[in-house]
Amino acid sequence: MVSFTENDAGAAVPEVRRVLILGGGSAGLLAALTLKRLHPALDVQMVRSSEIGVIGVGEGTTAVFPAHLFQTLGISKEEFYREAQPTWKQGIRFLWGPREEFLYDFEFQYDRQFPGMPKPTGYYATGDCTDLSQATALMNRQKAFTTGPLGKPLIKGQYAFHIENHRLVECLEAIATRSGVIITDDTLDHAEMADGQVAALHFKSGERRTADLYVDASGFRAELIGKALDEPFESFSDALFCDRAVIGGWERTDEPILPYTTAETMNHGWCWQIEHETFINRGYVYSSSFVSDDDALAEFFEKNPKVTTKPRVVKFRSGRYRRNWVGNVVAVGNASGFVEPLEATALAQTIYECRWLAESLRVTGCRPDETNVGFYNRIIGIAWDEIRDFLAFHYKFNTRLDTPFWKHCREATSLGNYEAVYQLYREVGPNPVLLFHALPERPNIYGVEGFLAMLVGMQVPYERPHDAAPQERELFDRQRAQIASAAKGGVTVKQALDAIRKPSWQWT
Amino acid sequence: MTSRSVQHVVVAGSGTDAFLAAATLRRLLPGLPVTLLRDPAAPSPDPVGESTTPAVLQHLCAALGLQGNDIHLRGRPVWTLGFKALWGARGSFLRSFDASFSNGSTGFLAADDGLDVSSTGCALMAAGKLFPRDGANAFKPLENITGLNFRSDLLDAILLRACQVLGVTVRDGRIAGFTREPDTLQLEDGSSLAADLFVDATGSEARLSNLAGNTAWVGYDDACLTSRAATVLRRRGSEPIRPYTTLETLPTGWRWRVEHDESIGLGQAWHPDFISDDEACAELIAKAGDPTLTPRIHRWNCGRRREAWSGPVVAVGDASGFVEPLASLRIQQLIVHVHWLARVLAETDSQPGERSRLAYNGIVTQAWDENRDFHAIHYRFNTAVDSPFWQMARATAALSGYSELVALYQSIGPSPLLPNSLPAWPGLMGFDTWMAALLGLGVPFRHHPEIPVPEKKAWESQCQQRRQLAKQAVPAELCIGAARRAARPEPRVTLP
Repeated sequence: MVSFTENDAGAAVPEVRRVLILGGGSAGLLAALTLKRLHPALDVQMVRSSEIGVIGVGEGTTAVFPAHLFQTLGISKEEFYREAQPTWKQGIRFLWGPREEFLYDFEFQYDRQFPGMPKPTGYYATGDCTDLSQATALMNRQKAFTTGPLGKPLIKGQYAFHIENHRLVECLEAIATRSGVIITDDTLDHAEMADGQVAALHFKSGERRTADLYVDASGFRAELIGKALDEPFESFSDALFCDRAVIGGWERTDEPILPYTTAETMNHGWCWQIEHETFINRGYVYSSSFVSDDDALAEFFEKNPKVTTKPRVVKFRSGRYRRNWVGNVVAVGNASGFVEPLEATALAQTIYECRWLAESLRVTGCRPDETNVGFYNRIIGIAWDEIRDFLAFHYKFNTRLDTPFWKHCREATSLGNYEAVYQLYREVGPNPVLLFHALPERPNIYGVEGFLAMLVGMQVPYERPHDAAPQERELFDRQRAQIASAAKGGVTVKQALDAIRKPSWQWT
Repeated sequence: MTSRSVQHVVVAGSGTDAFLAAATLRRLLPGLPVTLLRDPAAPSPDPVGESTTPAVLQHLCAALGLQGNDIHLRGRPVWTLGFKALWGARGSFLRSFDASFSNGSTGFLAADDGLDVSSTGCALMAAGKLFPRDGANAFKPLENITGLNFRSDLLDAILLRACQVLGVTVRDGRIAGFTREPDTLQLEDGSSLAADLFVDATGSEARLSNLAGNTAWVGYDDACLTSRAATVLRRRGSEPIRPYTTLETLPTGWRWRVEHDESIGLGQAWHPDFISDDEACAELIAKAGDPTLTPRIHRWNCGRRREAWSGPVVAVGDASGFVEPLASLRIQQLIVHVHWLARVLAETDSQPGERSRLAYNGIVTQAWDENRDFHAIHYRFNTAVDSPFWQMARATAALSGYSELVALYQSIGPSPLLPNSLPAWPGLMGFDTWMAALLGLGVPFRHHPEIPVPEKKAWESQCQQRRQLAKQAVPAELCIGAARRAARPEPRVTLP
């Protein structure tokens, strides 16, 4: 018998015992909490700068967020709801495409086939596309949850949050401190480099700090991955043309708290509406190549006359660093890449990065080698590119307005790796079985469902629409009516908030 | 509009590939007329037969509607639980069809201890038994975890009869030419046969695809490293029936052994640079122990057609590609092709267009390439024998799409994280098969997690239970005899 020569790539890898996280925004805190809670033996330090502060935009999350916090990290629901004061969302309402509106949720509308039906749901949704899932049926009726026993809201399933950033940061910081993360206030001066790796971080206070692994959560500044390591930044500019946002809002008066984020088509981009309990946050994302800041502001005010806060303009660039884990530096959150919040991807992507980082440490006994780092970079890169392509679908097929911006989007947006999915859709229609095999990479986030929600939602035509027989149509509508009836008796966001604040409420 | 409306399908071919394709299309697409064009002068199939995977029996029953007892009475197959491979760093390992390493620490536990009882199938193979005992006088036929070894002539007879019962039009004729627009087959007797879609199931000759000009080929020479084989069928004598297919490393290649009831199929595969055909045949005859046998020589061309479906012709089975029979996947591969062809036709209301064709080709390509890579690891990591051939194999066997999976395995071992690096999902053989092979081959990995003592104890006790079950289980001869005698062998079979 012959024995293999042991590959020495693994032998030399030092153990990661001490982690230094640079940046105290939601990304840094999520990284700190994820690492500390999943690896209690790790020494996790975080340095944040009160001089720099955080972007602090109100955030919408996806369903990944509550699952990560409550299930993976085991954070107490009582505390989180008390301190972060989130409201719930079941998805996004798009004022987009030729329909008046369509809904995208975190469940399944189109990657499904109702029992007894010959075709998947998408084929019947060319006209009316409502009530295909429980979540969209709820959204459609401005309800947050279905009602369970004793009239209590069933806060279960694939729901997500709207959270005000400062509350989220404060809440996570308190939990992180209690979990054993050591948080220091200091501002980075420079990174000390040796052999292409970070050797230490020097801070304004004069402190020099070292660690086995540095997590770059410094936001757009990308102090380590961008500035210190000079990793190439891959721009998403062939798919995403917006580069600025103007943000404002107003105190809620009698407006109902809507159980979704709204994304509205604007002349030179789009506008979000995020529902906090006492505040409504709006942001107009636009392309500076098509509109000046002043004109964007004017349109923003015209369409949102209630705005009372002084709007501020944020500049951004869409793209990602080629590798997010280079040597002893891992970038998370905005330091790893950025896209506009059209699908509320920021926190979800941060969590994805933190989870894979924690997993990479777990499976290697905290000695990740080149193979693991390469695997991490491939997985995270796929996720970024999928987000880019998913957002590209939003732009490519939005026929709502004929402004120069939207004409340009329809003509010039590249669908990237998902071009084949669109081409197959054009031929076979909303067929999840066949489209699954056109997905370019695994693992993926949105699956066929996300892309179909956009294509069907925006009534993107395909070669042979299905001509349903009257009985078939009737059977289909009966199933929808069933879903709708459960939603009708649901509770609103306000009612659900009242319910969980009753002393008798118990989380399960 | 590029879609063609498929109203009539012709399946050309004279063996398992064609009969299975015609019967499957006919049954899965009830409104579609299917004509089977077979060549009465076609050579008879290799009598050594072949072994298959559980997916094949499932297809015969679920997709073709055949009855289990009918298959046993007329096909006289022998059940197989998997493979015994004299191969890899351990020298020998068992790989069962019910391997399961997706959860928790199972893979790590099995890597250290108990790999030969890591599943019911393995435990049964290790004990030389086939099925667990059920009460005092019966056994439980676990057909969900067994493949069947078929003699091709008997399997073909079952499938041809299925074609006839299902209403496939069977026509005799030999293909002479193929003309486009209208797409028509010319036969040697001067007649012609038109259809909207032609299924080339003529085996590795791929007569129809070649006539239609679809010749572009992707070779697997850097992953499938033998190109010649010889086969013989010898009498069983009094030797017991092994509940598995045997794979054995030889200095210049490898040998396989497929169990039939009254005979044993032996095959030897080699690389012509390392041994002459005569020497290899002499080795095989010596192994068979019967100098009167004449080996049948095969020249393999491992690889796949660049596009299985081109224009109006779809190549399936051997006409689409070929890899060595190291994993008994030939018929399963064929089923993937036919199943997806039926699926594409069904999903597109029999109007498949250009993009549907490309989607189909993508699926078939993935299945072939996975099969190829699975063979590659058997060359790359076989340290059972040191010889010039195997030194070459270990140094050159190329992993393509599955290289990340293997590299990651070499780092973190059989971790539940690994499926994330599978290029295709669920793939031809599934994640557990890959794990079973990598574990069995003894491919080393660098990171070994600490496994809590209670988990280890639980594993040991499960292994012990499986060992116990296998010890009391029933040998193949009794099970096979009973199945053929019983009118209804399922679900409980009385021992003779």
